[in-house]
Amino acid sequence: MNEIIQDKFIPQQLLYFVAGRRCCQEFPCTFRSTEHDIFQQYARSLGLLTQRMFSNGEMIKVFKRTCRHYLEEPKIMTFSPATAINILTMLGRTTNLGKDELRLSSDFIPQRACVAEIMVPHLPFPTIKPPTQRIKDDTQRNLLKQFPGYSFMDTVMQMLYKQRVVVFSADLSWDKSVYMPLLIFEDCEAKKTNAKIICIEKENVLALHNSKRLAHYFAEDLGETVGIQLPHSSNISSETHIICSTAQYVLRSLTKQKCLNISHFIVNDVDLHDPYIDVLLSELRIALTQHQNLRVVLLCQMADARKFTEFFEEGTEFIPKEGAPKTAPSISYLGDIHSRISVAGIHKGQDIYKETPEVYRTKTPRNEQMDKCLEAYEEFGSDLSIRPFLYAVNYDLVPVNYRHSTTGKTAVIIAAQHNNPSHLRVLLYMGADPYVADEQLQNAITVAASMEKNECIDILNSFSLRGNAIKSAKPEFVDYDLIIDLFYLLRTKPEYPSGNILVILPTYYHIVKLNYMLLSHYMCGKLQEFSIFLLHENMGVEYIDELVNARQDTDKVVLATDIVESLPLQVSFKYVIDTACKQYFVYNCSNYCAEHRYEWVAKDCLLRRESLLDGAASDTQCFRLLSKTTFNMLTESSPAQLQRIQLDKICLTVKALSPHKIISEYLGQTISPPPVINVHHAVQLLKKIEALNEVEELTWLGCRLLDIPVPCQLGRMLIYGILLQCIDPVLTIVTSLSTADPLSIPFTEDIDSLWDRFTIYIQNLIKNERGRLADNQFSDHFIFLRLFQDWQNSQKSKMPILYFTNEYDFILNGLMEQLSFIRSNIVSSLRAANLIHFRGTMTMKNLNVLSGNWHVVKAALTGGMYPNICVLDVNKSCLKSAYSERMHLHPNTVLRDFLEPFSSSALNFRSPWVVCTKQRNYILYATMVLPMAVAMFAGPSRIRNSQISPSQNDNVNIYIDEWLWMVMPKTVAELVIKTRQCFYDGYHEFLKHCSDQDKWNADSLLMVNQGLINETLAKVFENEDLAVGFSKTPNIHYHPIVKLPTTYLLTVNRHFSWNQEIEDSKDILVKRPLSSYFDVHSHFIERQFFVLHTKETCEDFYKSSSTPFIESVLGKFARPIESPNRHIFVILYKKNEDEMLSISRAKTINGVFTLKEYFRNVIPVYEIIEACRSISVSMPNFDGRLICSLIDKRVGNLIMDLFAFRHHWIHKR
Amino acid sequence: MDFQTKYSKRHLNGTIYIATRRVLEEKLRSELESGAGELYLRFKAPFAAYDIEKIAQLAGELGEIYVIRFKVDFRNESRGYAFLQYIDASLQAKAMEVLKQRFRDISLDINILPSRNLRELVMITSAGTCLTPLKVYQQMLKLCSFNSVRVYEYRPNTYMHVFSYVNNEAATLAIRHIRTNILLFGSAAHVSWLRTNQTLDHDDFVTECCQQLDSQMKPESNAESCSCFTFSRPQVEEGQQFQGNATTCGIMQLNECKEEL
Repeated sequence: MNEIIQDKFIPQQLLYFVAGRRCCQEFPCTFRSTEHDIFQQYARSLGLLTQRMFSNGEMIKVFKRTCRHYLEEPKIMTFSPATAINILTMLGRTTNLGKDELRLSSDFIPQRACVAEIMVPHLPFPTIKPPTQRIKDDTQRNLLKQFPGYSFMDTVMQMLYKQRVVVFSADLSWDKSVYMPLLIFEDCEAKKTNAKIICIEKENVLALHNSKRLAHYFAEDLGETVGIQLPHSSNISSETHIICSTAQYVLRSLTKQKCLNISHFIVNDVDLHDPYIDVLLSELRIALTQHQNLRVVLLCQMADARKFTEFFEEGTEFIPKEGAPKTAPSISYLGDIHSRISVAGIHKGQDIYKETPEVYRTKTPRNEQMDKCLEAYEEFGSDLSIRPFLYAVNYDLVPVNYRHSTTGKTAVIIAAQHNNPSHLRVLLYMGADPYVADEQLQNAITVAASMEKNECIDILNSFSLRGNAIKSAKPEFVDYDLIIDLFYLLRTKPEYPSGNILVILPTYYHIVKLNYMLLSHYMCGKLQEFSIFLLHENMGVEYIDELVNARQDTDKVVLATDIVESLPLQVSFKYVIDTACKQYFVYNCSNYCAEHRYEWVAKDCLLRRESLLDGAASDTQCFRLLSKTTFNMLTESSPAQLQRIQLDKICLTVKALSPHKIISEYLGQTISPPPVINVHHAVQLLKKIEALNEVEELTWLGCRLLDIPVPCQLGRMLIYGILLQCIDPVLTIVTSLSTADPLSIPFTEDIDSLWDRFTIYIQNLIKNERGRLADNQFSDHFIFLRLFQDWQNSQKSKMPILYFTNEYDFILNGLMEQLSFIRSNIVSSLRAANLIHFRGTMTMKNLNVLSGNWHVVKAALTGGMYPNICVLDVNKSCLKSAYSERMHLHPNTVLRDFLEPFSSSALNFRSPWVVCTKQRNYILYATMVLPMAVAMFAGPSRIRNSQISPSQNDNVNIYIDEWLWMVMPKTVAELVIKTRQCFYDGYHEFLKHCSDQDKWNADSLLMVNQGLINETLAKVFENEDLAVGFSKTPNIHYHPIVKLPTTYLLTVNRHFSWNQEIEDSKDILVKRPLSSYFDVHSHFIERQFFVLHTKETCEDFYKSSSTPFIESVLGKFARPIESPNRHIFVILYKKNEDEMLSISRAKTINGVFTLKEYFRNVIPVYEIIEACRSISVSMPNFDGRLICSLIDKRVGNLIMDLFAFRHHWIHKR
Repeated sequence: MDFQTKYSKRHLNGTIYIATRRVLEEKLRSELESGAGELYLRFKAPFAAYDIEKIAQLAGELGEIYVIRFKVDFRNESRGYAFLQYIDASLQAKAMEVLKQRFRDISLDINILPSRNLRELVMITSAGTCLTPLKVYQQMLKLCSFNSVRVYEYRPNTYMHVFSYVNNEAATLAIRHIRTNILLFGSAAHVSWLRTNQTLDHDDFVTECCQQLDSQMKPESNAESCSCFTFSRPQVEEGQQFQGNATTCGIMQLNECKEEL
């Protein structure tokens, strides 16, 4: 037998491996350890590399020569004597020194958690009973009658009696999610049957909004007949019959109580295939077998709902014929939109910056390098010589339209010169614009024509036929300029009657950016007045309320993500601008990581969005920002998310729901079974971080991660943050990783057309800013921390800032608003999961003892980011990781400069270890960490004896996991292992017992030990960091109480909305005939500008100037000429520094002449004078002796534009 | 307990209420609402053993409960205290004697005290910001309703606002709401409870110079002459949320006021 294995089996396996596609493979414990040597011998004889591994027992990993995973040699780890003393003292004090051999007690191994013991947050559902009879009043009856399906209702109820599952499919305007619960409730009331109706929505805000509307029907407060149960808000009483919740939350409560006590489940939006809703459907299918009387109503908006009844193997579909006759909107695609805009002849403002010279072009090394690339290409014109340029475009974010600093030539022009059709094709495919002219005013087309080579001319001709929509050809770039153009079309041209406009954008970031662009155009008075409202997933319910309660007569502009598809609003839209793209979070199994990906949505999604238009109105229009050909290629229905997302959280949920089933089996039976490989990877990851144990049972860590609303790895980072007592910075980092990064380096397509000539300059400045914030700490995560802190400090001293400086500022405020929203959400969940206590040793205060210490935070990151750890291979000068073959540093990270080859960035590395956030093969955010941190916190919580093996010179090898491999002196190893043991003792203790608050009261020993360890670690890491050459960290302050304005965007939009101003000037309205005021059809706003001299700073001026002062210097001039169609603006001018400081609108409100500040910035007067010269306006004279003077309208407009369209990076001083 | 007809149970975030279903007459209800005869029950750790229904059951034997408010954490386990009110407020004294013993009989260690019913908050807004008391008042009206506010200028340009609420619960909600929106009141603003021993109840005076403000918060003569003012009771317009009583607002030195006490 032995011989057969040795002679046949092992060589055969190895040959298979050699022939196969994989570059390395583990050969697990099927071979006895005695055979490992033989195995290694054979492998070597085949020219393969081998390595012994320790992960759940010894095994052999075999690598091909080309494999990039192979660590040729272990990384060395040592530390200074001072560190050793520190650790020794600590171990002495925690009484862990005496025991020489490693303790292998059972609670050192990740234990299986008892699922029943994980508590269900909040009350169990109240008992079921029939509703008490009540008398309906007329309004209620009328409300019910408004339901478009009122006439079918008997049929539906009949169906519900006959069938246990009913799928009800109708579009959003039917408002099914409100009416179905009501009708079922009314029916139960009439028949005196038990009613406990659970309404399930996709998102928390949807459930909140829905519950409010339901309660409104009963004319009650929330918490009586209608209740709500969400993770952080619950309002429910013994009379509650209708409960709104989300799928995720209901699944969490179902872990303990199966669907007892429930008469009806109403699940909304099943067609959107939210992953949790899909899991819930499986759970409901199981529940139906156990509870005879359960009824399930599925609401969706799709033509064919058979797949749901097929899934349940029972039930019927109910698809009503058209309720009310609908007029089809006219739909325009990209080409059509472009031609309409060019026909309409839109005149946007901002001419002023169009002529800004590109003086910034020549300055940086990056420009020089790119110039060299182009020169080389121009000289040789060969395939080889264009390669560096293409590389820079593809990997270093250089714009493909880069113009040479002196000649102004772009790569396309050079390609045309060389008459190289294949280069031309490649460049055009990459988005190059052939119309860009060089210094001799030649562009690619004229060059090609002068060369008289037909092939090139043909290529360029066919390009110009396809149109100029390069930006819009890819889903990941939203063409803001086009949307603004559309707004000019809709809000200034009389052929488009005014009405509400809905803009559907892919993410929150896009919403914020467009919000600023719209506001700045609108505040200049170039568009008819409107109020802006925002809808997205991470918002408080006040955003919806603001929209729903807005005055009827305002023209509303709603900027929304796809949440609007499932949010029935009582707002009729006349225009929909649909960007037709969506951000998906897709798991990529080939490189083991999830990535954000923009894709065009499917046709069914477009239809849903189209149906948001007011069906009754006649001339509704839908603008889809994709070309007709792209539209024709779209798939019919969107893929189910379950099949694409990273499944870590889902796996945990599923495991908690049915502990005795294999996860992949359970998920295989859902309505949209995910690919097995994804499930496998997710389970492997969970095992690796010990959220599941080796036999796929939930551990305590898994139980805790379930309740933290972030991906598992980030959740684990939070737990390390708690244990290392630096929760605040870790929270900031975790939240930043799950929101958009305000300082990510933009592609040229991300920059508005006004500024895209300056792409390189802007990118460099952002890179510098990142460098400044990182402050030589070699960490991108540190930037998040600094940025948040800087922002917080700027908030601290001010009221919510209601004036604008520039777009970046606005976006930063908007993103930070979301960040603090999500952040506080996570904190509440941590409290709810009992990971942070209200009293005892685990209070917020106690957990922030080390928050100011970046060294400890880095350690927490190391623990939390594991297994995303890379190591520098100096010889090959590359980064290696256990997962990806080739790791590149994204130009974003501070670990490398633009266009810097890795070998030279690697010289700066202080430590070979890097923990990172990956996106495909890119390292998007990285932090360099100490070898000691890796040795301490990476890998499984328990290091077995077999993972340690002696090496030469009194050194030992430690195999932390199957890939991480370190060598260290024996004494060091001993200390590390012991400290590790100490720490993980506390770790397991905490995870197991954290829900028992009494164990953690003030005199408990548990946290004292932990505190001691942390204190020592803080000292040790600080010493070691300095020893390897990290510079001293700038202080990161921890603010015990975070004072943040919560609803910045809401406040700003309200502040600048027309709606509000009407409210303010009610008195004037009464006197004035309404019609003339509201008649803004003819959009002629005349603007008058005053210059006001001041000696103070802007802030002081607005603080100190009282109403009488303004009245006396301004009111007497401005008041008589003010009218609804003539706006008065006041420009603040500081004479002694020759700068314009701010611009505000002056208005008589309630008889008082007031200033509302619009923009604040610093614009030197010479810039204004230059601008005047460029558009040949006579130069103004600002040095008049009067405090206040009227200036030329054209100059005023120009100054307004200068304020409104200022760019943060370009005009930074 | 009879949750069908006599009592109702409700869970709102961190509080479980068991309240009577009886409809009370206006006067009695408003008295009870402002905290008449409220008892404070303090439990001994570990709190998990304390069950609201058991406690309510026992307390109900003494007389009809108006409301019992049981504070819970995220696991719906007690946070160590509860509030109890009988419809008959005079039961307070008796309850303190009897109930403690009754609880002990079923081995629940509960300390019963008359509730302090803290319902006043102090907010200090500091100098340097352009926030006049009037602005604070108007801002506060938008935020949440309160009964009355008194303002003291205890250092130049530093104001102390004492907001009083109908009962402790309203004040608790308010303090949370204010804390999340504290930035609206300037950078240095902070808010805290006004302890009973520091109460400033006796000083609702009207100084000579104070000028009357109308419901629009406009002074009748020029506002610049003195910076103190009083409001008449604002007329509650239809649909407006404001439920304030007579709102007084005087400005004086705090140390003077302490002498008065």
